[in-house]
Amino acid sequence: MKPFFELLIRYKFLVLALFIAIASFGFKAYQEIPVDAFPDITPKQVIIYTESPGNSAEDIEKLITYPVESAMAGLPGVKMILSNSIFGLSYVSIFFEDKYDTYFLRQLVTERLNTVKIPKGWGKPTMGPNTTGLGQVFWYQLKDTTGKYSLSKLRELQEYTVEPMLKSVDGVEEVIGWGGFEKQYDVLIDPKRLQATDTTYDEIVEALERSNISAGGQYLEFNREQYLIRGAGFYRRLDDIRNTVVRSKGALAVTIGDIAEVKEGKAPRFGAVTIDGKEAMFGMVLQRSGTNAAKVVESIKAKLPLVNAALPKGVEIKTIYDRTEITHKAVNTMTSALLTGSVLVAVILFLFLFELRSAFIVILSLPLSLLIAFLMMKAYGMSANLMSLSGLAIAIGMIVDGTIVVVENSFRLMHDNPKMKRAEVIAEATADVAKPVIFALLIIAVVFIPLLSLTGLAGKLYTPMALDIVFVMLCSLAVALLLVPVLSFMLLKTGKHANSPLMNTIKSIYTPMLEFALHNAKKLIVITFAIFAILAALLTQQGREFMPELNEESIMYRVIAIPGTALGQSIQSSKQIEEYILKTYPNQVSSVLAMIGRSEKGETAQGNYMEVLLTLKPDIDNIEALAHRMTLELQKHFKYVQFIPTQPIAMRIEELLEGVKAELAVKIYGEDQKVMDRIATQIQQAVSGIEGLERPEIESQLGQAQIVIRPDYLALSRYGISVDEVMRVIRNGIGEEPVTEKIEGVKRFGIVPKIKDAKKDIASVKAVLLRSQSGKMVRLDEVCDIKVIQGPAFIKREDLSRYMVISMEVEGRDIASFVAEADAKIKKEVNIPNGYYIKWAGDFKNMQEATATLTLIIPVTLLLILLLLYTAFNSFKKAFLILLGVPLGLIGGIAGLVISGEYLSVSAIVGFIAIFAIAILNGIVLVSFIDELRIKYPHVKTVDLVKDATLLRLRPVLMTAFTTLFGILPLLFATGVGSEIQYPLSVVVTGGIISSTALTLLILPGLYVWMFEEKKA
Amino acid sequence: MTKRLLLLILLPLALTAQDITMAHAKEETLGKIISVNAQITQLSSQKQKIVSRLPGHVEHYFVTPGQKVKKGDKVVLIESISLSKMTAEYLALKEQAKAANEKLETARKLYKKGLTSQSDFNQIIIESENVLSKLNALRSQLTSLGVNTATLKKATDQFTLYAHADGMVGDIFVPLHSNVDAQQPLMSIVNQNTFYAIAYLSVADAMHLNKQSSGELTYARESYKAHFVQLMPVIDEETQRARALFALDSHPRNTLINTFTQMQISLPPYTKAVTVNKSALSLFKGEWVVFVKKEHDEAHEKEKQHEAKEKSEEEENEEASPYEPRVVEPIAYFDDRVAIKGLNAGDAYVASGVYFVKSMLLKSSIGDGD
Repeated sequence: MKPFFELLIRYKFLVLALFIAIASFGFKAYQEIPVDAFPDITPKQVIIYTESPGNSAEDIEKLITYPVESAMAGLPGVKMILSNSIFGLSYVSIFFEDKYDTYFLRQLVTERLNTVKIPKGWGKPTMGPNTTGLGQVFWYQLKDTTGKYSLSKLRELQEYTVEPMLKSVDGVEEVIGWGGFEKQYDVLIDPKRLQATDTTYDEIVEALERSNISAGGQYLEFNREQYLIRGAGFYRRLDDIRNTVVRSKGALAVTIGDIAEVKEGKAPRFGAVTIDGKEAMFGMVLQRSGTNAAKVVESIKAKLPLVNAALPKGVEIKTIYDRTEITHKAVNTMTSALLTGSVLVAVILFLFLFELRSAFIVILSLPLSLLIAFLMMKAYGMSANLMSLSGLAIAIGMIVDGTIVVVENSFRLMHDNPKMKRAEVIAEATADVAKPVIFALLIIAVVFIPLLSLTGLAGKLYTPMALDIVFVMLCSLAVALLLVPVLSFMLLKTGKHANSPLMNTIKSIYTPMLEFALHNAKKLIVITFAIFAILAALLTQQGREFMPELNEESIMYRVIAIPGTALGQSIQSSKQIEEYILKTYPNQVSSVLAMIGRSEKGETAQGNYMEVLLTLKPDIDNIEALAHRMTLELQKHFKYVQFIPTQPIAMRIEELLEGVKAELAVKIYGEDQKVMDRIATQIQQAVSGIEGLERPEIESQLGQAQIVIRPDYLALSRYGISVDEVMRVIRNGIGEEPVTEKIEGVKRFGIVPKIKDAKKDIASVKAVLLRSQSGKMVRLDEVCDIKVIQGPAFIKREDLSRYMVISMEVEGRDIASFVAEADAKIKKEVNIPNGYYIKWAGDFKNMQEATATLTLIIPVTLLLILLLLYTAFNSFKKAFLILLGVPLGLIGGIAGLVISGEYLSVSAIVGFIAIFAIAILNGIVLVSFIDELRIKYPHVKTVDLVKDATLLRLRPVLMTAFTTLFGILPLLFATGVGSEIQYPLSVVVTGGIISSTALTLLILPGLYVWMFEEKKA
Repeated sequence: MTKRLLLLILLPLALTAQDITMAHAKEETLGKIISVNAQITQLSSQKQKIVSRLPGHVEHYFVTPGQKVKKGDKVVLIESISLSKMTAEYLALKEQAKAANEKLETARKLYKKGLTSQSDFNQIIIESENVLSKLNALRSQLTSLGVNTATLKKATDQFTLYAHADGMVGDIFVPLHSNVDAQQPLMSIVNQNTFYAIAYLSVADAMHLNKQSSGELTYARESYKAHFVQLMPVIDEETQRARALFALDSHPRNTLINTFTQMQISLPPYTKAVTVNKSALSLFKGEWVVFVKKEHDEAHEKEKQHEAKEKSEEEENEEASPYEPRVVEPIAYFDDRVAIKGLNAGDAYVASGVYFVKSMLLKSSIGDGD
C-alpha cells in the first residue's frame, strides 16, 4: 500500500490537476442537473382513452374497454391493467415493468391498438399523452380583462391560438383546455314541422351531410396561364345552412330554414372551471416524460409574451400554478440544509482540531466529494430533488470521516517521527489507516443497500437517496485516499499537537464518568439493554404511515358530491365554496380555483368531482393550521359534499397508489355489480364488530340515474320506423352529436340537428316525435319502452375483472392482525358465490411490502457487515462486539421518534439505517484503537488500557459524531417546503447519534472489558 | 325551554341546509297536457260553392273574393240561352194553358149539353192537363232557379245567382265572360264563424278525450282556445294518428286553412290521487323516493337532543340526517305536479333541496372520486 501512496505524492501535481478537472466537471454537472421537486415516482404506464360521447358506462365497458383491455393483456412486461368506464369515456391504464423504454412500450401499444375493433360511431381509442403523473407543470387562466369576450370565444382562443403556440415549446407534450363552452351550430328542429313540410329527421340529417362539401376541379389553360377550378361548397354563413334544401317538389323546395331554427349554440360539456365565483377558461401544460420540469416551465414562460401578443387586446395568460416554485422551494430547503451543514461541520472541525491547515484539508474534501457525487448523479440520469439532495445532506457529516482519520494519523505520525521524510511519513500514515477507512466507508455504503432493494413507490422515492449516499461515500473514499495524502504533504507542517480548549473541558468532565461506568459496567449494560427492550416494545405501538406528507405550502381540496350529480349543480357548489372561502379568509386567500368534472382529454372524473386550489397571499405564518381550520369550517358549511384536503403533488401521488387511496381496503372482484354490492354489504356487516375498525365505507358504483330507451320492435314495425332511425334521433337529435362541421379557417365547429325542447325534462324525452318515411307520426314512448333506472356511475376493472372497494381505517391496533381477524371472519360469515373473490389492498400494502422486503434484506445486510467486520478484525467476537453497539444507537432513535410523536414511516426507517452505520463506525474507531494499544502494551491491565484508549480516542469519536450530528441538524430545524419529509429521519438520526456516541463512550468500554478480560486473567 | 332547545338544534341545520323547504302532499285530481300537431280546417258544410246550375255565359260578378256577403245577396249574373228558352217556353205554355183552359170550359159546356161525346171530352181534359202539368213543371224549375214566374212577362236570359248564407266570398273559379256548364262551381262562400282544428294525437291519448277536454291552439304566435267536438271515426291513414275535431272559440282575423300549428290539449282528470311537487322526486338506490322527516316520539326526541348537546362537535356533524327516503311510485305527471302512490295526503315532504338531503344520506358512500 505504502508505495502506492508514495507514488501519488510523487505525482502530486498530476493528482491535483485530475481532481481539479473532475471538480470542474462536477460543477458543470451541478449546474446542468435536472431539478425537480420529487423524484419521478410514476410507474411506467400507457393510458388509452376513448371518447364515446353520450354513451353509458355499461355500454362503454362492453364495447370499448373490454376489447382494448384484452388486446393489451398479452403485451410483454405488463404488470397490471386498470380500467374505468364512465359516462362518455373509456379509460384503460396499462402498467408496465420499469425496465422497458416508454417509446418502445407506446409502439407496442399502438400496434395492438390497431387490432382492436370498436363499432362505428363509438369513438376511437387514443393513447394518452406521454407524460408522467406529475406532468402538469404549468396551469394558467386565459383571462379577459375587458369583459368583451364570452366563454365560448375564450375557448376558441385557447384551442386555436394558445394551444398550438404552447405545444411548440420544447418538452411540452400536451396542452389541455378546461372550462368555457365549445361553440357549435344548432339546427333546432321542431318535429311537429316535419308533418307540415312532409319531411323526416333522417332527410334533414342527410341534407346537412350532403350539402356541406367542397371539391377540386383541376385547372384550365387560358391565354397561356393556368386557372384552378374549385368548387367551394362549404357553409360560410348561417343562411347557407338555412337555405339547404331538404326535399323539393316541382319548383317548391323545403329548406332547413322552413323546419328548423339555426343559431349558434354550446356543445354539451363534462367539465368546467370556476375562479373566484365565476366561470373561467383554464389551461394546463403537460410535460413530456423524461424532460426537465424546471426547463420546460422556463421555456413556457419565455414564450408567454409572444402568446399574449397573439391574443386580442385585453385577453392574457395569467399563471395560476407553476411547478418550479415548489421545486425551487424544495431544492432551496435542501441546498440551504447542505450549506448550513457544511459550515457547521467546518466550525466543529476547527474547534476540535484547533489547527487551521488540517481543518482546511478536511473541509476542502467536503465540496469536492459533493461535486464528484453530482457528476455521478448526472451520469446515472438522476435529478436533483428533495430525496436525492437530502441523501447528500444526511451524508455530509460522514463524508469528512475518512479525511479526518487520514489527516489525524498523518499529523500524529509526523509529530512522532519528525526526522523521517515527509512523503514517506504521510504515505505510511495513509497506508496505516487505509484499511479501516475503506472498511468503515464500505460498511456505510453497504448499510444503505437495503434501501436499494425497495420496490414500488418506496423504492422510487428512497432509491435516489440511498444511491446518492453510496455515491458520495465512495467519492469521499476516493478523496480521502487519493487527494488527502497529497494535500497533507503539501500543506501540513510538523508542529505541536494542538490542544483544543474544547477538548480539555470535555475530557475533564468525561474522565470521572468513564471511571464510574467501567466500575459498574455489568449493571449499566443490563439497564441499557432493558431500556432498549422497553423502547423496542414502544416502537411497535407507534403509529405507522407510508411516508410523511410533503408540505407544498398550498391548500387544495378534492371535493366530491354524490354520484350522478349534475355539472350545473357542481358549478353552483363550486361558486358558493369559492365565495365562502374568499369571504371568510380575505386576508389569507387571494384567489380560489375549482376544476369541475373533466377536461377535454381523457380523465375519469365526472360531474360530481372537483378540485379546489387556493392561491394564498404571501407571508402566512402557519399554513397547516389555516388549512386545518378551513377544512373544518368548509365541512361544516357544505355538509352535502365531501372535502378531502390535499396538495397538488400529493394529490397526484395519491392517485398513483393503484386505485385505492384508503389505508386499508377490501377489493371484491366479480361480474355482476349488484352481487358485488350485496357481498360488500355482507362484508361490511361481518367486519363491523371487529375491534379497531373505523369508518368502513362501501364505494357505491351505482347511483347514476339513467333514462333507458329500449325499442319495441313490434310497435316500430307498425309505424315503419327502423331502430337505426330511433337511435339516430337519440344520438344526434337528443345527444347533440354533430353530423357535419362548419369550417372557419382552421377552426371547425359542429353542426347539430337538435330536437327542440327534447331535453327539458324526462317527459319531454318521452314526447319526442318521430316521423316515418311514409308520413306516420309517433311519439318516442309509443314505439320504445322508456324506463328511468339507476345504473352504474362508473365501472372499474382490474386485470379484466370488475371490482368494488370497501375502504376502512384501523385505529389502535396493528393492521396486519386486524386483516387476519377480519379475513377469517369474512371467510366464515360471508357467502361469496363462485366467480367472485376478495383481496385486501390499500396504503398499508405498500408499507407491508416495504417491510417484508426489509425484513429479508436487513439480516442479509447484517451478515454482510459481520463479514466485513470479520475481515477487518479477524475475530467474530469483535465483530459481534461492534454490532452490539447498534442497539445503543437505536435507543436514541426510538426515543427521538416517540418523544416527537412522529409516525414510523419509511423516512424514519432510513434514519434507523443511518444510525446503524454511525454506531458501527463509532465501534470500529474505538475497538480498533483498543486493539492497537493492547498489542503495543500487552502487560497493562485491560481495564486501564481500555480507559486510556477511550480517553485518547475521545477526540476522533466525538469529532465523527459531532460532524454527523451537526451535518444533519439543519434538516431537523428546516421549515421550508419538503422539510417535513426528512423530519422523521433527522429526529431519528439526531437521537441516535447522541445515544450512540454517549453509550459508545460509556458502555462499549465496559462491554469490551467484560468480553475480553477473563481471557487475559 | 324545549322550544329554545329545538331552535338551537335547528338553527345550524337551517343555516347549512342549503334551502331545503317542506310542503304537504295534496289530494288532487290531475289531468294531463299533451302537445300535438293540429291542422286548421273547415268542414265541407261550412264552405259553400255557388254552382251555375244552368249552362251559360258569366256576364257579371256582383262580388269580389274576400267580400262579405249576406244571405240573398246577388253574387253573379249569367246570360243563359237555356234560361231564355225556358222562359220563352214557359210564356208559350202559359198561353197554351190559357187556350187549353178555354177549350176545356167550352168542351165541358158542350158535354153537359150532350153535344160532345164522353171520349172526346176526356181527350180534351187530358190535353189540358198535359199542358198544365208541363207548365207547372217548368214553373217549379224556374222558381227553383230563382225566377219569379208571376212577374215574368217576357222571355229573359238574365240569370242571377244569390248567396245562400252569410259569409265571405272565397275563390271565384270561373273568369268573367266565360261559358259555363250546368253544375259548374262558380265561386265559394266561406262561413267565417266556424273554424275547426283537427288535432292529430295518438290513439291512446284520443281515448281519454271527452266533452270537458279543451285545447289551446297556437297560431301566428297567438293562442286561441278551442273545445273538443268529436273524434273523427276514421284514423288518418298517413300519420296513423287519431283525429280529434276541436272548434275554435275565437279565431284570428286572417285564418289560413290547412295550416299546421301546435295545439295543447288538456286531457280530462284521472281519478283523485295524492300529488307532490315534481321537484320532490329523486332516484335513491334504484327507486323513486320522496324525502320525509324521520319519525320519533317526543320523549325520544328530547333525549336525543340532550345527547346531541353533550356530544362533541365532530360527532354532531355526523349526526344522521333528519330526513329519510320514502319509496313512492309516480303514476302521472301534470306540469310541475306528480301523482304518486306511497304517501298520504297531508304528509309533509321535502319539496325543494332534495339534492342536498340525498347527498347527506349518501355521503358515506361517495368513495374517492375517480
